[in-house]
Amino acid sequence: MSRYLRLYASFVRFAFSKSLEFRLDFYTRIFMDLVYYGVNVAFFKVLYLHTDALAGWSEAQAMIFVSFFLVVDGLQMTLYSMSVWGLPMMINDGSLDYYLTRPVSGLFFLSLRDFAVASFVNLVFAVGIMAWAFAGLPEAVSLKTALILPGLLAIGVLLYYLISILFVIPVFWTHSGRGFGAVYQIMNRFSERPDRLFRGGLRLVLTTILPFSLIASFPARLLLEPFDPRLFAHLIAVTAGLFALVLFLWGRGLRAYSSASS
Amino acid sequence: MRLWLAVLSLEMRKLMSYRVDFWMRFAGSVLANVLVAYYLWSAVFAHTGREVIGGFTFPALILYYLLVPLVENVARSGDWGSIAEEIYSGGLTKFIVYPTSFFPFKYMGVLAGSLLAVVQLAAVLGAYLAAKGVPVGIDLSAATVAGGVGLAVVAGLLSFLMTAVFEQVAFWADRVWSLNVMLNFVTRLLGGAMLPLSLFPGWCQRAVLLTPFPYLVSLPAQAMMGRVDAWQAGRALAVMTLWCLIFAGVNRWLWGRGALRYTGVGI
Repeated sequence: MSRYLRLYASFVRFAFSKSLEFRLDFYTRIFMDLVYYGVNVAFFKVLYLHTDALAGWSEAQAMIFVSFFLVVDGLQMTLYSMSVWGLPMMINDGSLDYYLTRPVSGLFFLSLRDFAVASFVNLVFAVGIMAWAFAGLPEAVSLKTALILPGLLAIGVLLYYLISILFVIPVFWTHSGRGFGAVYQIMNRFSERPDRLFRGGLRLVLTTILPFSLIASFPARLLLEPFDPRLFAHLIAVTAGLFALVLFLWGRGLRAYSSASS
Repeated sequence: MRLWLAVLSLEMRKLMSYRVDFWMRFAGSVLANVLVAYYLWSAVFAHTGREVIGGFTFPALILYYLLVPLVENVARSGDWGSIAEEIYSGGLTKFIVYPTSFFPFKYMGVLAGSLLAVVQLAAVLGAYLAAKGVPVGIDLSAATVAGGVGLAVVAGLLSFLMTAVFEQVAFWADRVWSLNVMLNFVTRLLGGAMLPLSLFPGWCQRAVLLTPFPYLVSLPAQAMMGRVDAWQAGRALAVMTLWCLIFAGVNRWLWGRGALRYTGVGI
């Protein structure tokens, strides 16, 4: 465990030391994420000009949902998204070999090697939006909310990660991540909307098979509404199930991986 | 002319070379856009009890959200990032021996994508109208669709010129993809892809109309729905031409300055 922590600390140190290598890119990435935050907040602000409730939430409550999603997005952008985006290409051109021969978990190394400093800076803004959203609620933040918020954020980030890896794994067999990458980006739109909007089979898919709705919507419900143990159990069960599935499929994918000689 | 047709044909074949990816991306974006809009707006209409919101009935709004990704495919097609990549990797050098100049060659890639997207638009819209019919109060016809498609193709040129400005920053900075992503975020909101612009506050609508964004998505989609008359379409074309000239001028200036810095050495 301490070996992994030391390794991760060196990833972070390295990321900070090279962060200003591409100076303009560093600043534009910060600005890009700010624009993304602004666009998402503006969307709900405009929407609530035409209704006073959406999926059972007032505007102030919807802002908690949006801000939760933005913080999770900021965390995933900081921690692993740059690493995961490059994975399909590495599987395809065989450069995975280098990482698989390291004396640590390949999935750990490949997923966390690229810490995004610009996105880390943006987390400050995302957390600021969350604080602003909580300040907009008519009632004060309860002790329960303060206690479960970090855990729910961690679950949201883990789920986001597992889903993104799930869309990368087929590349071991298809040798192209283009189509799956596009579908992942498209499906991600569902995670930006409250889960209670969706019904029927689509709802089942979004809350169990491809649980995009569990990233921010379920946690927001747990934060905003009286604690529902069934909702919490569902969130934990799906996260654990997806974790096991991803580990299993990753192992199968590595067996199918044809290395640099392909 | 034969040269351009050959380039256009080549670019179309390139786009179709990953057919599964091409169709997955297309079908996924249309389906997701319509599904999210359907559930979102059915909740809003049910909660408010209103029949019209922002000038749209529910069926008209769903038709709009169906048209949005179709129009985006026509107006924002092409291999975004390729200009920056050519600068970054030293690929501009080959254009010294190409029998064409750089920007028209790149635009052919965009036009190829637009033309393929027109075929997709016709197929999906035709199927949707055959299944659901034209919503009440919507004056959609072959003529309005043709007009909207024409505006979307011109929007494709405008979008290409806007993107080229950002991509030419690659002469000075090595990585510029985040500028493109940022442009995409702004276009989706201010272009009317996320929400029809008529839902925005009045002051905001007036401000957005001073930018090129509404002409990229909202205007062609509204034109297809018969909500833009001939005079408004003509005025929109004039504004789009003006924006094209402005961005072409900026591109020319950047190219003149940037080419002096270009070393032809890939990274």
